[in-house]
Amino acid sequence: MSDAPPPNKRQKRTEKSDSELPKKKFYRQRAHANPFSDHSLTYPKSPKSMDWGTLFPAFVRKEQTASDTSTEEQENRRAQDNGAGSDVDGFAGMTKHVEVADIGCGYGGLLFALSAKTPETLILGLEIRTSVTEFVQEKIKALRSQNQGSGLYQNISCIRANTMKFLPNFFPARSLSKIFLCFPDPHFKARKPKARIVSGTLCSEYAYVMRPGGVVYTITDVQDLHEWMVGHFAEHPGFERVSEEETEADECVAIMKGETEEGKKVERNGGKKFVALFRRAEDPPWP
Amino acid sequence: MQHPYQCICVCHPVGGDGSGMLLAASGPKISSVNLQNGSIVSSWPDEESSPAHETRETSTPEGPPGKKRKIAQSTETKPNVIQLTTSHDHKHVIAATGEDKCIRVFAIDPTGQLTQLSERYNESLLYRGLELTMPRCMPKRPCAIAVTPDNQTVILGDKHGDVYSLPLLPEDKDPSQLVPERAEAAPRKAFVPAATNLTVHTGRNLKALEAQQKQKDLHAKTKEPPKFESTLLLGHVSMLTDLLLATVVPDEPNAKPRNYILTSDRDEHIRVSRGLPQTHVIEGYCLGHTEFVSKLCIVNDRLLVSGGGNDWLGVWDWVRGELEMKLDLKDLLVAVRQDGLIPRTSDASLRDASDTVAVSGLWACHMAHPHESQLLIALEGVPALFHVPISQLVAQYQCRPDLEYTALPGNLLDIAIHTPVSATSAEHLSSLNEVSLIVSVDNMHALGSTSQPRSEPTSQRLLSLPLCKDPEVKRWGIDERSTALLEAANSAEGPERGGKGVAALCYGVETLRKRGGGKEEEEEG
Ligand SMILES: C[S@@+](CC[C@H](N)C(=O)[O-])C[C@H]1O[C@@H](n2cnc3c(N)ncnc32)[C@H](O)[C@@H]1O
Repeated sequence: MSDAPPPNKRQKRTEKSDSELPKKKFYRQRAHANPFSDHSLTYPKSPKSMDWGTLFPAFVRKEQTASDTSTEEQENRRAQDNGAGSDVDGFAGMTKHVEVADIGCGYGGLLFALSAKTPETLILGLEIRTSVTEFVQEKIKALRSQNQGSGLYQNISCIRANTMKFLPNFFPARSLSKIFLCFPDPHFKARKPKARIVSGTLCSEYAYVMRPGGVVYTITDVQDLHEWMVGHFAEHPGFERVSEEETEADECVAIMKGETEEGKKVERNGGKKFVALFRRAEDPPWP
Repeated sequence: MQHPYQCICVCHPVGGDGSGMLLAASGPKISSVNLQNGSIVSSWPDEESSPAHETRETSTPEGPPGKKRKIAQSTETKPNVIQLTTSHDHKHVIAATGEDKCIRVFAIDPTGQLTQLSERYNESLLYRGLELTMPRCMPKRPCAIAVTPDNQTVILGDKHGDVYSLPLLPEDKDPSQLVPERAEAAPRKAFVPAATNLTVHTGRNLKALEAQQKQKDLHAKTKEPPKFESTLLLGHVSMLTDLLLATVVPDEPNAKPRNYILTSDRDEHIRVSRGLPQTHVIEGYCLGHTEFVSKLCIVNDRLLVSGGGNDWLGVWDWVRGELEMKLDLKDLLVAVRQDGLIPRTSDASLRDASDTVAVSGLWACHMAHPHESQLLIALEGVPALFHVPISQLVAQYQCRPDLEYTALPGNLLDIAIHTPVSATSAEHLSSLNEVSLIVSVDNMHALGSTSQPRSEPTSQRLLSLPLCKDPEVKRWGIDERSTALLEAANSAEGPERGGKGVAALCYGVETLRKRGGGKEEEEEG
């Protein structure tokens, strides 16, 4: 099947105005996308060629925008930043760099909930399914448009990406302080361990894009997947498990449990939620 | 018709006379050729183990227990050699074979005799002078191999993107005592589907779960873990294309040398990881290719050259992950075409070399003053050897690099750099000016084509290109006299092969290109 949604869907989607929220029913898509196939993905050659300004226009450095487009809100924001730009490689021209990634963000429940919690932190959702990504993008657009005065929802964005292949194309080394892996697809076929979003070798890539001290958040309702993820992160020398007390006290955990679409679904069905957090360790000294 | 030599390398066996041996793989067969007199010293699998011979052996009821049957395969079913390399101490030869996904280690004696080493304790079998035993078979097809500087470990990358380490020489252990260490195996317990309705939300998931449960028992019976020691070091979720080991002495005073593993994939990545034992640390990436990366070559210390589906080579400061320069290949290909090296044709089945570039080989050929070290380049399906002085591959080099080519009588397949060593020590001669290249060319396909057969097939598959004595002449030229020394290898009967199998074995690079319009399976969820 082609990448583009059927024409009737397209039409219904475009009929809405900018500030009107998208309807989920027009953006549904088959649950599983093959992480190995080429798709028709677009991704930057490297983080340096990533156009962050389009995703987070309110965080573009002043010199970069024409004076007439800069709103009062943006100026306020920049004043807070003391004019300092992001010094993270790959975020030249931005006042901030993306610090939080929601991998496999689905319909974006977590993004929308986190946005208001940390309005000064840039959060990016990454989702492999086109229509689902479009839904989140439309919803962000509508919410930004509805909240022009307050400047809410400027700090979240969503892109289509296969994170299992292209994470280092988007994020420079040590740039993220949080990665969320919420209710990843369980991939029941045990024969395809590489299809899972967590594996020993992928942990190395998560460690690469995270700064030491950063935290990976995982939640699932599938106990065996939970154990699988815990096993791989705990065994990986780049991570250590966060203690239970600290996990319970982390407010992102509550959001992850209560605000993700999957979290709500599990709640309705009376299922269990397994949570595990892992802190990115310092790299060991060279031997 | 003889099969081309798809992989070649030069080895200087310890205790040899210093003239070196050429190891050349033709289909499933590896031969060692004495470079002093041109004689073929040994071949593997042994000539004598012809199918008829083997059948007779194994049908003898009172003969040795069916051990030999394992090697009694006809040439047609014998696995083709896809990688061939030597250990740094030149004591061992390592070969990877495709169809059976195996890695084989041979000992090479001073005369060039190859001996495949025992995999299993006490099960080695002396057979016509060759110790034949079990190869180590990997879960996926190996696609790149390297040996660590201490010659203890083989690092192997497979088609599914995983990189493993294996001891070069398996320990004398009972294989049943070995617990394979593979991070992809479930860490604590096997990943068994959680069979509660609460955790399965969709009909699709439920179906997958049912299928999985049915499959489970069957699966448990069919797949056993590898019976040898191997450790998963790192992995790409992509097809791995090349792998290199590198060592750098950091600038800081008193810093110890640092080991790295460089890996490339079909999704345009070049990854720089720490070497053993810290391979879980990714140090960086060299990003900039917009097509697959197929070959990596470290030309000096911190300078890496990469090539693939782009019509340029990347020259990188790989420790910093910075692209220093792009070396354009397109103009040169146009020149090759204009020079008539690749016949013009309207036949669309001939891959048009001016349209696509697929880098199939990169080699650093180091030479001493007054000669200049060169980067050698092979492009898939192109009958020419490209070369450029390495000193010009720096960002500061103001002029256009002197990228030139030497025409060849067949598409270039592989190159072995032959630097004679002194007979007494394994040290290279103080003068590197005796370097010569042994080049393998395709004798079956038309010049410039990876599919069209030649109108007149030839047996000439190996050529010798000594360096011109005059340092001003930076070209390589085919030398009749030294090529004549390769006569025995050129006329050796190879396995009979159809053109299709040969093309698949010799020309796999262009197939890495993404065909565009990759489809996403999209359905109602
Ligand atoms: C079960 S959903 C969970 C969605 C969301 N996190 C939540 O909790 O509601 C898993 C999501 O991961 C996405 N996904 C799977 N593999 C992915 C990959 N390699 N890269 C990006 N997203 C992926 C799927 O398309 C799907 O939307």
